[in-house]
Amino acid sequence: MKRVNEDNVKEAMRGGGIKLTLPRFNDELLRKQITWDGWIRWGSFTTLAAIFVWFIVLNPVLGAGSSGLVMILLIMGWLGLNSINAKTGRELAQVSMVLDQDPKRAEGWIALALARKPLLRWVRLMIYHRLAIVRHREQDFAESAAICRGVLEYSLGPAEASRAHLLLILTEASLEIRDMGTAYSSLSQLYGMKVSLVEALQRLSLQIRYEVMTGNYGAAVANIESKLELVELLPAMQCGIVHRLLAIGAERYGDRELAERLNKRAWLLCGDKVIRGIGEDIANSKGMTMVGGEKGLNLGK
Amino acid sequence: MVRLPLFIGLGAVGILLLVDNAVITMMLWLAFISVFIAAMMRVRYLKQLEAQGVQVDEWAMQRRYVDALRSAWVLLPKSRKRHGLYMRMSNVIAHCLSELKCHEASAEAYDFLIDHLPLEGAGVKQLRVYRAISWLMEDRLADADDTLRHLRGVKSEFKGTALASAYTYAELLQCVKTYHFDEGVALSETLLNDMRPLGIEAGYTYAMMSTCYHEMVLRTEDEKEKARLEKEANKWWEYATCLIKEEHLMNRMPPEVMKQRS
Repeated sequence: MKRVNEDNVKEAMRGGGIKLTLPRFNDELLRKQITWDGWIRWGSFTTLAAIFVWFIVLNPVLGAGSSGLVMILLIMGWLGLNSINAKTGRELAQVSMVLDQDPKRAEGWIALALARKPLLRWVRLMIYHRLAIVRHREQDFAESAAICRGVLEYSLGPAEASRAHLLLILTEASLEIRDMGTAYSSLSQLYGMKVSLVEALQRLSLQIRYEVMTGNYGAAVANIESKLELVELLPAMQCGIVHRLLAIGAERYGDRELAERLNKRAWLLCGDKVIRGIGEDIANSKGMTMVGGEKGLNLGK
Repeated sequence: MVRLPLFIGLGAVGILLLVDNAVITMMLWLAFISVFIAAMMRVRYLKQLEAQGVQVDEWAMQRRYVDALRSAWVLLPKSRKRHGLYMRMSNVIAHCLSELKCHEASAEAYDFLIDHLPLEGAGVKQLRVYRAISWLMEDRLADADDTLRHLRGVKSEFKGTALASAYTYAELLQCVKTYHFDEGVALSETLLNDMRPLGIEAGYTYAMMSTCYHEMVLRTEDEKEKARLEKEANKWWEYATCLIKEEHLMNRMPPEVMKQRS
């Protein structure tokens, strides 16, 4: 594996023969990184505070202009400590946009960003969040679940709003690897928190999938009309797949009429090719992936 | 105004370098701290504005058009300096006006958006299609025809996207509005695949296709052909009502479709 630095990340992004491979996620490594970040930051803060106290004590001795010099020193120190976080924070927003089109480039940036020190805890955790999205898109569900589980152990601070998205990824990844216990506990956590409409829709589709996979067909088709009203707000493909899952639930629950109606809607929404495989092995319905939930809302006509 | 705190901060540092008076020094430190507080308050205000914008988007998604329109209208002047949010709110206003059947106002709002977006990308093309739909609904057929002719390429260029589907919807609406039902029927072969990216909303297009077939029944003499067309019309109407309730369908359809269904 190549050493991660600005030059070889740029080279890798250009496709110049260098391959940057991130190691598998490790809880222990994340803990170490966060501890080191904390030590470096608190050390720097202590130094700045010491300069300030020193100035207060020695101000009369230092004379005119010293107050301005101390202020400049404090500003420089503050900027020095935060510039790396500000830069990474800006890049986080940019990298979210290239996750779809160019995952390799995103991975290169993640490798580079994780090597930076000292980062604020929430900034580092958000880099791991983006890594979880990349792994989820690559259908490496065990890895994306491990990353989400690791990140969710910490407080996310100003990025707390991303907790719901991490839980959604964890739920779907757990369903893919058939870890029903984790899927249940993350769904329960999602129901205990305030989520946006898009996240509520993803939560509903994952809940339906969970219920169908665990054979709880009655729960899947309960209150069907209000569920359908919400499901209709999903993107077309996902909407069709959820309809098909509900149809399977209705069929196995014994409501043939409802199953027929839902199957017809699923066919109208997705066509034969997409829905054909769903049903024989529900867990393989990978089209349901929802990590694009970070995109803006699309007002369809 | 946005950079004012920065200038105050720099001014405070500059004066501090020259002055050696305890009171002035303290006041300048206070000014310096105030700048930080002002900057933090501004960030909080912008976050609140963004959250309100998300709320408006969600109402529009949930078809609460009156609430969304009212809030977007209130938010619009506040977001004048946030280009992205301003454009999003304008888009919500245009969309809600169209859904509330205020097509003339909706076309004006789309006009504004088209004029103020920098690039002629897929987004602007989609807005042009929506504006053409609004024009068709208020019978500005020549303007709509002109736009749709210019955008003819998008159907193949953006195949399988919501843009291509919206174009197909506009094309079919034009056929219904101009009584070219035979041209509408010609679109039926690929209509299901063309409209799938629109999801449930595709139901409106299927209802218009049903109207085209029904009108063709009225224009056909041959009994066998009549029966086939009638069957097709019923099939498309069934598709439409499978996706959208009949009362919702009738609420948005042009008068030509409503007249035919009644």
